[in-house]
Amino acid sequence: MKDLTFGPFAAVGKATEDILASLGKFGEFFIEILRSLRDVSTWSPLLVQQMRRLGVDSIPISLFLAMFTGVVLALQASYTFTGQIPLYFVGTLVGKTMMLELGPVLTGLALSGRVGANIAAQLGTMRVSEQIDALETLAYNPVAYLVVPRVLAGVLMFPVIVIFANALGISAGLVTAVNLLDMSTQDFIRGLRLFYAPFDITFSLIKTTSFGLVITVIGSFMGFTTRGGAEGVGSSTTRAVVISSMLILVLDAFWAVVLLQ
Amino acid sequence: MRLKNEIVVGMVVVLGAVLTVVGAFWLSGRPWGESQRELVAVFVEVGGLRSGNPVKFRGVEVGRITKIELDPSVGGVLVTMDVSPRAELPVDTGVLLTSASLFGDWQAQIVSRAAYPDEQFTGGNPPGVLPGATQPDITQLTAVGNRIASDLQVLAQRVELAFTEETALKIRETIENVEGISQQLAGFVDQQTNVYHDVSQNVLAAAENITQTTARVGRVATEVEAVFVEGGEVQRILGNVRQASQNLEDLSIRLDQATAGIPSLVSRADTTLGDLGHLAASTADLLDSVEPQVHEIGPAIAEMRHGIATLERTLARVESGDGTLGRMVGDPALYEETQATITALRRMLADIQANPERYIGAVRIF
Repeated sequence: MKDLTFGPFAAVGKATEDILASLGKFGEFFIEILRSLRDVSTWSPLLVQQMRRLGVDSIPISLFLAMFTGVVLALQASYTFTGQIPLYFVGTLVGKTMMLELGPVLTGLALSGRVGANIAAQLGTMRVSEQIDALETLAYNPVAYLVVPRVLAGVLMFPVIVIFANALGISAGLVTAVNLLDMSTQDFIRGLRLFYAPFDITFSLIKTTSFGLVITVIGSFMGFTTRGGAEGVGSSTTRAVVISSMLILVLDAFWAVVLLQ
Repeated sequence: MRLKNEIVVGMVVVLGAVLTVVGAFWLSGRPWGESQRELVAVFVEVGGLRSGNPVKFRGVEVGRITKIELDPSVGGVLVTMDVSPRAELPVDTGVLLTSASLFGDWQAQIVSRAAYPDEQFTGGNPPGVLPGATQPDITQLTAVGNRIASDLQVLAQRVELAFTEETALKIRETIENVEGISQQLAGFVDQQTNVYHDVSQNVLAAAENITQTTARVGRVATEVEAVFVEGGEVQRILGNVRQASQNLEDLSIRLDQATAGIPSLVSRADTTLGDLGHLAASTADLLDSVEPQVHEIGPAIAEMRHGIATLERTLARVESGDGTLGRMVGDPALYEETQATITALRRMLADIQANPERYIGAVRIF
């Protein structure tokens, strides 16, 4: 009777305790990352390598996504306008949407799968195989050695990736509009410039930087907290992708509220 | 050969940075390598203007809006814009903010204020700050339209309330009455049309009669004119009468001269007096014959002239002393009688000249 009466409350309390504990652990982990930034000699030799692996090697998938996004945006814009709105607004819609929303968000979601999962799997495997423990035993700062280069690589390289993605997406929209929508290049560029503001690019870079930070930090945290062998690695990888994707969308709304109002 | 990580990453980062800078510059629409001139204008309000909106001069895009800020010191909004130095600004430069299209994009136009006399440009600006004006955008116009639509809706509702079934029935009856009245009016109009047709026929006939009467009057007038011309002939006849009187006067003078020179002829005065009496009787007959008809005066005068000629011949014989009369002119008694007779004749002739109608009678044309 007692269990039936207080069971739900106990479950909510347990879940709250777990969430707060996880947030606490995540807070400690994030603070440890910030502290480890001072250990430059440990993370700096690995930074370029991580930038290559997490950034440069992710460019193809980002460009692939951006190209088809630009094509679809141009076609959907012309389909939506249906003659009531001048076609040069296709350029406006493609440019604004790529820079403000789809470029950063789609790239972030793609990289949360590729980069976040990669980091979580790598660090999770190192955790379950006790390699991280070995580093600690050897007096290495595992966060500075394993996490900081990945986080910095994500923060630095994600905006670069999104710049390429935006450029290719807009270019793909231009090519699509000119070849499939009976628009001239001048019309598309006119629409592209019509509502352009320099802050558009700044906004895109701010969002992408935050996405890079979230993806790498969440992936690293999930990998560092992996338990239970290979199954735990898989679980951590999955949770890293899911949570990163959710946080990307949350941050997307957050920045829109903070910076666009 | 696999490139080193540093090279690859460096190339990607540099390429990304260049792409960012070049892309931002290209999207802003600024010309490459041209120094821009900064213009500042003040507005009461700027509508939907944003940084990056185009600045146009004579329809050509010459710059971009770079900054928009409230400035309490000037009591308005300061708008800073970068403009190409190739744009030669007019003397009375103003900046006009307008909607670039119906979809919310705005633009700034550099204009001559004289070309827009209806726009309220800001005045009393600090040196170097251009006056500005803002035209209402489509949202304000649609707001006015919305208000009008609301008023129309209220009006329609009121009409709907007033337009009940009973009102509709009355309106229908009214329409039926109007239809009947219109039919009656149509019949009345037809009837009046027929009357007017008859009247017009009569008027045409009367006009024809008037035309004929006028022609007749014209002919009568011509005849009257001809009669008046004949009246001129009467004047000539009267002139002849005067001439005859003048001749008689000359005759009297000559008689006077003859009697003065021939007293011995008095004894013969009886015969002469008899001739004169006959002459006077002839003259009286002549004048009497003139009285009934004027046109007989002519022949009478001709006869009178003949008589006068005869008399002149007679007088010539008298002056020469031939015949009975020649001998009688010397008689003073005859002279005195003759004087008295001549005096009477003068009075009579004078009376004829003064009052010819008394002897001629009334002259009638018709």
